[in-house]
Amino acid sequence: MVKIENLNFGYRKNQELFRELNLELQSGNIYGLFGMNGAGKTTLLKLMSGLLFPKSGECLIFEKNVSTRLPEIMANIYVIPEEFVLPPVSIKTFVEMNAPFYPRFEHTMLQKYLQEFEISNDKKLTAYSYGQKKKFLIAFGLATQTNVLLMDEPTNGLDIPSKSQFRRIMAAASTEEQCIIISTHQVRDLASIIDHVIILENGSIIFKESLMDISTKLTFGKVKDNTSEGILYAEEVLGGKAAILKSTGHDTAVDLELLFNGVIKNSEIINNAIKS
Amino acid sequence: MEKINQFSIQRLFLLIKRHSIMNMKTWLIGFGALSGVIIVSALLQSFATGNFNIESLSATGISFIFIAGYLITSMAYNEIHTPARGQFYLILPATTFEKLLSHWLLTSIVYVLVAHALLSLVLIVAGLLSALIFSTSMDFYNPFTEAGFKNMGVYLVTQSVFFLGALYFRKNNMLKTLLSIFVIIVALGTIAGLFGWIILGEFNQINEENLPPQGLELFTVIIPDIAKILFWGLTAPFFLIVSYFKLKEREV
Amino acid sequence: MEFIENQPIYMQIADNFCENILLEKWKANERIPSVRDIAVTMEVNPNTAMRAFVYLQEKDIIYNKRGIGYFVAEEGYQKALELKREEFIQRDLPVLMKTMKLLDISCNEMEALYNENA
Repeated sequence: MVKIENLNFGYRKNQELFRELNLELQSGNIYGLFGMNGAGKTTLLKLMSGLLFPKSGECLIFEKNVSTRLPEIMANIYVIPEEFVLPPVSIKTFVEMNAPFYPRFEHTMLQKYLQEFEISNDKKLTAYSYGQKKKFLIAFGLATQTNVLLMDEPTNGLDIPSKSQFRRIMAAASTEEQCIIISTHQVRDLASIIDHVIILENGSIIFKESLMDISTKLTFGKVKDNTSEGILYAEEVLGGKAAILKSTGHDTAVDLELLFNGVIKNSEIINNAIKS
Repeated sequence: MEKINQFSIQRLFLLIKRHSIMNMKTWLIGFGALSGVIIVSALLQSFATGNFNIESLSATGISFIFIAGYLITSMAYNEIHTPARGQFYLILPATTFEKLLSHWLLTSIVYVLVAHALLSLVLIVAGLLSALIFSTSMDFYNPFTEAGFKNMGVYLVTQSVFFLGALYFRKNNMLKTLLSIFVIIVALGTIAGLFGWIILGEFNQINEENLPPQGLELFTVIIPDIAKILFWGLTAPFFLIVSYFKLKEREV
Repeated sequence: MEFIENQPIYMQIADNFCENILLEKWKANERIPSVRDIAVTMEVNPNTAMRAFVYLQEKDIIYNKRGIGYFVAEEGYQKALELKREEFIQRDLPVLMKTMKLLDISCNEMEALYNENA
């Protein structure tokens, strides 16, 4: 559904951020896009939505180049950016202004999500707090029912109950026809809601696996010392070491933070263990 | 599926509506301020001279229309110059042509017609007030005359320059557009002057005596005609086409 | 090698199902909540929730009626009991025995405590 082919990009000449990047994403999945600050997560999302143009190569949605920004493509993408300014209008006006551009927009869905997020309908958008604005945008984005939904740090600025509401809404809203990409470094907030992990480092994708494969090929747990066999990565925790091991035969809970650290440290070891 | 990419009048109206909602406040404030100025100056004039002079007032009004129009046009793309707002505009599912046309229609044809209609309305109000307070005679301004239409035409053509300026510059669009126009005029004037000096260097001035008949025609008929065609026929299309590509290639 | 690990999310969901069946909150041939409902209440990805359903279906604890939903199997209670017993013996009992050894609690002592609480 989303395909990036040999993409090259840099904000300045001689300063390449992405080099020959390739990525293919399928519908029916929620991808977690992880990476350290400055790894290029936001830039990648902007390239996927046609807000930035690659220097060479292309980003395709349903086999169509996003850079053309044709209505048939854009009517199928919605972006929930991390930084945004909303116009000084009421929710009702904002919806009247923008919703008709999306052929599958569902007003009842929007009302349902706004209710779940406990957002009242009576103020100008500029009068809401950052977190409320963000929740409104998430609700609006889901109601557009676009096939591709890009979210940049959606839980940033959300209070604790809202994070829980967000996970519930995502569980309820995502469909088999949708491809949702959530960029974040708040691993804990989203660990349960994603089903694929993509890790971006220094402008390239160093890891892309389904949680299913991760949980069957790797074992996460606590060991007393790292002399034990099959340890792929370990780090100090209270009372021992948290470790990633080659699968011991039965499924364990995936510790995404540990996985992320392990992949950043040495992606080759982890990737080989999953591929084998 | 392909049909969605074709020009859609609904989307055009939606874009016009969207842009109007977002800017209505600014427009109304500007209209209120300028109408106030016109009415007050009309009353002052009537007070000082005892006459309600529609000629001078409409001239002031028209200059306001031009200045305000250039200003509104220059601000037309403020939304995309702040990335935090512009991203929403750029991802809107509409063609570049629809996006360009909606802004252009609002700041050119729609603006110039509405502004002239409002001007005649304001002048009626001013005339009535003046008649009530200073017992001046009533006079009306009709913008829809030949001279009026020519004014509108001049606005439509010159506005396209500010339209490109609105897309091209990220801040202080109007001042930068004016500066660019000034620089270009000075440059063109210098070039024309140099050419004139090279060709006609030996003469102090052009007149019937020192030019052959064909030459005279060149300066009195051909060059002005070409200039007219360029101005009326090519200025606006040129700047609008450049604007189209500027918008199409726009990134956040 | 000493090793402590956590249950994956889908296993936690499956555990919760088994518990409901063993407590007879869900009876044989009764319809259970949909994948989507479970995903929403547990705040997990629907694909993850689906894994729990598939897992329990493989164990013959629940069955699927196409287009209608999932139901507790006729033998659901028995199967769930077997599964949980096995899990307890395999997974929880060794930990318990280890702790008993560490704290020097004898089987007799344990039996007395068990009778006291039961």
